[in-house]
Amino acid sequence: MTEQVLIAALQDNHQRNVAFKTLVETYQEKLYWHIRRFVFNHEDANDIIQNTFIKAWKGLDNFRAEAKIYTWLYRIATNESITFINSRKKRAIDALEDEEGFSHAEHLSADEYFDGSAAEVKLFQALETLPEKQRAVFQLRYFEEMKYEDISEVLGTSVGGLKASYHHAVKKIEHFIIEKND
Amino acid sequence: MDTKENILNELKEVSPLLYDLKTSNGQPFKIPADYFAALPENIFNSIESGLSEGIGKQSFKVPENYFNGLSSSILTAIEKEENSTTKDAARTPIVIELHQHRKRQKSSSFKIYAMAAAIAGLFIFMTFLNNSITKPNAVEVNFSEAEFDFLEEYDTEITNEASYSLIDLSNQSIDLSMTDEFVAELAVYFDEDMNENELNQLYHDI
Repeated sequence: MTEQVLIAALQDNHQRNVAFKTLVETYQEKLYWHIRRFVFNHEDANDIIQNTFIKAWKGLDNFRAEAKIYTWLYRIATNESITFINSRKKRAIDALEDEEGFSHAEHLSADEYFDGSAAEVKLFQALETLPEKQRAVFQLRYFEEMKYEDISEVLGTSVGGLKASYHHAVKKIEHFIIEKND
Repeated sequence: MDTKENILNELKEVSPLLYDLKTSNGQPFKIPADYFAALPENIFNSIESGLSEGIGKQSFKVPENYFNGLSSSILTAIEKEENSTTKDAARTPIVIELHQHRKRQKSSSFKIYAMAAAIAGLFIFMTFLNNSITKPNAVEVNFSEAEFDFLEEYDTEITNEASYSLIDLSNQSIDLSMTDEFVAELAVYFDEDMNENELNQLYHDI
């Protein structure tokens, strides 16, 4: 099914359910991994992906046909992930925990659903130190291998700004990893 | 073209370390068995249960025919309020009202003069303060809307590593006050030894 056909089907009340199932099946894996790299934990990623698709379902009537479905879904997923991370930080602060110095990535090695190397743990630790938008740019380019034009649609930022942001993020992460290795 | 190969080449140029990390590792996260097979059904169940529970519907109730009589009861309340204000005004002797009016006029003129003097004093003080502060590498740049968005995007970064202040937001004119370290750092990222003018040009190019 092409994107145009899918969009038309989603906007038709008689075909909406079937089209939405196709939409979920098409994008669930990509979106799940994108979210998982934000929150690390499977249970949280599962909640967020469900919220992402529920929001997409509720927002179908407002979806503009000229936009790309996948950038629209990535935008919802990214916003949901960032909102979750911020609320997790706030909860920790309210509970008087030292969220500033706490790294969720540091505990990845103990996660039964994580099988990465020590270098990867450092990479995810470095991600946690980035400002949220810079982190989103990095993740969309590095892991999702997305074009700058598409990232621009997801984050609503100019391509020039994204390029500088990505380069800056790469340098920061590299610096973090080298420092941790020393 | 922004192909996978180009994205990898770009990464290799900027950071060979991250390039190696990306190309030598697979997916480090794992998921429960058959997770994706069951996910669409779970999502539909969530949507359906949400719809049957009435997501976004009003869960508060009002008495029967409440809204039918609401407008007339509001109007009655307004009329009542207006009548009582008119009655109060009619009861007040004119002499006292004139006297109070003059008194109010006097005190309000004094307040206006005092406020004007305070504002003028504050303005002079701020001008003096602004002139006495020396700003290293200060450049005044006029930004287009797109550039302004770019700067906004960089808000967190800039405030972390340099200081900048908005002079006139409506004209989108910004006084960028950057430390030498920040200018040098930016220059490294763009592989050039830039001065402020070149940096200014870079913002314009972006």
